[in-house]
Formats: sequence, structure tokens, C-alpha cells
Amino acid sequence: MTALARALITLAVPVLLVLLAVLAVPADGPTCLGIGLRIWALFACAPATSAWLWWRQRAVPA
Amino acid sequence: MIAAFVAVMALSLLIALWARRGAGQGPRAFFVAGGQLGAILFFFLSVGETYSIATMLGFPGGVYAGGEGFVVWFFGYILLAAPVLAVLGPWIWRAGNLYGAVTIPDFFAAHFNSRLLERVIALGAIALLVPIGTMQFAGIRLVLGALAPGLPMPLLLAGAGLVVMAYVALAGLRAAAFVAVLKDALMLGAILLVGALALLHWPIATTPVATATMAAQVPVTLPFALSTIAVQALGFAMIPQNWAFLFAARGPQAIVRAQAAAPLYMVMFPLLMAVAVFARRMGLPVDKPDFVFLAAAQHLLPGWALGVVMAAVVLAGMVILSSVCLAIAPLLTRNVLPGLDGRAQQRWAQGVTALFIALSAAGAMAQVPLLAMLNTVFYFGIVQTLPGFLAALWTGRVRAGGVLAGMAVAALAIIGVRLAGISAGGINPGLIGLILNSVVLTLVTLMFPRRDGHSVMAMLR
Repeated sequence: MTALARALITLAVPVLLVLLAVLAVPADGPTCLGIGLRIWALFACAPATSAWLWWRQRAVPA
Repeated sequence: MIAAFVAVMALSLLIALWARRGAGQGPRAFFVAGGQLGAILFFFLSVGETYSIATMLGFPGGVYAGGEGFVVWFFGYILLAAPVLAVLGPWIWRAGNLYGAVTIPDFFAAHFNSRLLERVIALGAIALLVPIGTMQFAGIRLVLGALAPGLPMPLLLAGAGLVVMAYVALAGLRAAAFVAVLKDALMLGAILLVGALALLHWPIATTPVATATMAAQVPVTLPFALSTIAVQALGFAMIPQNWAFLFAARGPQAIVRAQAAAPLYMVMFPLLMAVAVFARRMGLPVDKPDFVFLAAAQHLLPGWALGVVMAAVVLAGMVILSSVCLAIAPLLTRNVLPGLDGRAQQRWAQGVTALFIALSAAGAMAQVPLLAMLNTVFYFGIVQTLPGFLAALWTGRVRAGGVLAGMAVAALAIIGVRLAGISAGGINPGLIGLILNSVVLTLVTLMFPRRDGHSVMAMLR
């Protein structure tokens, strides 16, 4: 696989996660600590992105 | 409160002094820590933006005053900057190593063999960094005004400027990295403490708040939020001081590991948002939305702890200011005025650092209107070097003229869109400029390809 393809895959997953949280999760609805469901979904993207990047970095040479 | 604040500032200066130990000699040691920062120091330096003065003051302020669009934009761009840097960071490091670069224009000058391109990028970067300094001082001003309301503000800002110059003079980028550890430890502690106390005192019934304080500072629509995330997450990789941080890393793996941890480091954002909601529901008196976190801290913490929180926020601004000073000095002495001898280089570097601090502080004193707009303008401009860098990575056919033409068309388009007041469906003009920039660069390259060039990737193979 080329470096460009690897780079695009690494970027695409977090971008899709954010788009999913922002566009697919309704803005109204239940809240927790005054924070709506959409924003909680966005916050949940952070640990998921960390896990994804950590998994992807195995291939990077020191 | 003031004693605790001064104690933290004194501790930061001692840490900067301690950072001199093990520092090498020469400009590379001073400006990019000799490329020898270990994983932990590099992490704190490179992900420092996560807990910047904008995060502590601007994010809760935006939540307090604005709507969901602001959270999507602010959180989204910091989050996506991590994968962008995880992908581009190692290539920036390798490209810098290939050409012995210390700054972005160093790379462009060496790769495209063009002094004109080098100077245009250097002068553009210097001009665009001034609003960043102004924003740091605007935040510092807000804190110092609450800490010592009786003292004249110019004196307080001059004091902050002197501490920044002391960091720079004591150990260059190593001082910024060491102080960043103290800053982040205090920041995380402050958010955890204020957030936990806010949850413990969470109001059952909500108190209505005056409509004036609820008005949004900057209305943020979803198209603007998403396009701004794209511009700022991509632009993050082209910020001059971020290149210095990357060059300071020991290697590509250290960069990717730091960026992998960066999103997890954002774990405190829900607490920051909860603090803003708490302040609104409690009806705490807040003069400016950006003061909301400190207003909650004032309400919940004893005086000495509030002094420590205020010191943490001011440190965040000063760490960014010192790294921007360290980015501007080589832009001037290496790229705009090359050929100066060692002593002249040092004099010019000190002069431009002092001028940058003075201009930034003056901007904050003048209460430059629409700081959020200045921030967006910074990213409009700074991201425009990205197409040229990506082209250099993947092809050797691009000429300096193509990069310059792309950047010129982008600048004209952005200025035109703003002056004409065209809304473009709420899309960030920086993204429109970036797309036009890429199209022009491609067309010029197709018409006038370079024959003797090699891509960075090919040279690194």
C-alpha cells in the first residue's frame, strides 16, 4: 500500500467519526449535565480517535 | 491569592532556569531544542494547544455565550488536528532533516530553490503571528485585571512580557517545553477541581440569566463549523511554531505517539463545558463570557487556589507567546535577513522578540475588536502553504512560481470574499482559498512543469 493510501485511511476514520457524531446524532433530546447527546457523541470521538491512531502508529519506524 | 500567583510564576522561572542544563549551543539547540526532546517533553510541548488560554477562557466562554456550533467547531478542530499531525508530522520531520531546516521557509527555499518564495512565506508568517500574540495577551489581560484590579494594566502586561522574554533568553524552546509541563499539570488540576466542585454544587433549579450575557459572540452555523474544522485542523500542521516543535522531536515515532495520545488528553473538555453550564444555571455574575471559568472558580475555590488557577491560565498564554517568539526570530534572521553574523543575528532576534511582545500587548490594550475574526484570519493565511508542501512531498514537477501563484490567488479570493461580504453558504473563506490554491498550483504545474526536481519522498527513499 502506498504512503498516500495509508495516510488517507488514517485520516478518514476520525473524520468519519466526527461527521457521524455531528450529522447523524440529533441535537435535541436528553441532556446530561446540560450537555446534549450530539456533543456527548462528539466527546466520545476523542478516545476512539486516540485508540485508532495508537493502532495505526505501530507501522511507523522509529 | 496574589502570593500564590507570584509563587507559581517564580516556580516557572526556576524551571526555565533548570531547563538550561543539558542545552546545546547554536541556533538549532536554541530554536528547536537540538531535535533532542524526549517523548514526555515533546508531548507536553506539542499538545500544549489542547489546554491553551483559548481552551480555559474561550471554550467555556463560547459554551456560555454561544451554542452547539461553537463546541462542534472548537472541539472538532483540536480533535482532528491530531490525526492530521500524526500523518503529516513524520513527513515534516523527515523533510526538515533532509534540508537541515529550522523554519517552514527554510524548507521551501531549499526544496524549490527560491529566495522569493522563502521571503514571501516568512513575511506572511510573521504578519499572521501577531494576532496570535494579541489573543494571548487579551486572555492574560482578563486574568490580571481580576487578580490585581488596582494596578495599571500596562505595567501588568509589561511584567508578563518580561517573564516571556526571560523564558526565551534562559533556554529557548527547552524552557517552553519544561514550563509547559508545569502549565499542563496546573491546568488539568484546576479543571478537575473546579469541575468536581461544580458537580458537587450542581443546582437543581436553574436561575434565569440576563439575555445580554447569553448573546452569542460569533454565530456559528454548521457549514461554517465543519469548513472551519477542515481549515484549522489542516492549518494546524503549518503553524510555524508547530514545525519548530516537530523538529524538536527525536524522531517520527515520538511524533505519532504524542499525537495518538493527544485526543485522549481532551478528556477534560466535558468538565469545562459542565463548568460553563453550572455558571449559567447558577446565574453567576460574568462581565464577559470569556471570564466564565474564572467566575466559577471564584465562586467555588478559596483565594489561594484561585491564584494558582489564574497563574495556570496566564502560564498557558506565556508558553504560547514564548514559542511564537522563538518561531518569529529565526523567520527574520534566517529567512528575511540572511547573511547576518552571529552577534547581529542575536541583536535582531532580541529586537524582533521585544517588538512582537510590545505589538501584541498594545493590541490587547487597544482591545482589538473581533479577536475571533483575527484567529480565523490567522488560519486563512497559515494553511495556504499546505498545497505547496504536499506537492513537494509527492512530486518533483512543481515550480516555486506555481506555489506562489496558488497562494496569491487564495489570498485575493479570501480578501475578495470578505470585502464583498459573500457568504458562500456559510463556508469558511479559507477553505475556498485552499481549494483555489490547489487548483491553480495544479494548473501551473501542468503548464510549466519543473524538469530537474525530485519529490521529498523520492529523495528520502
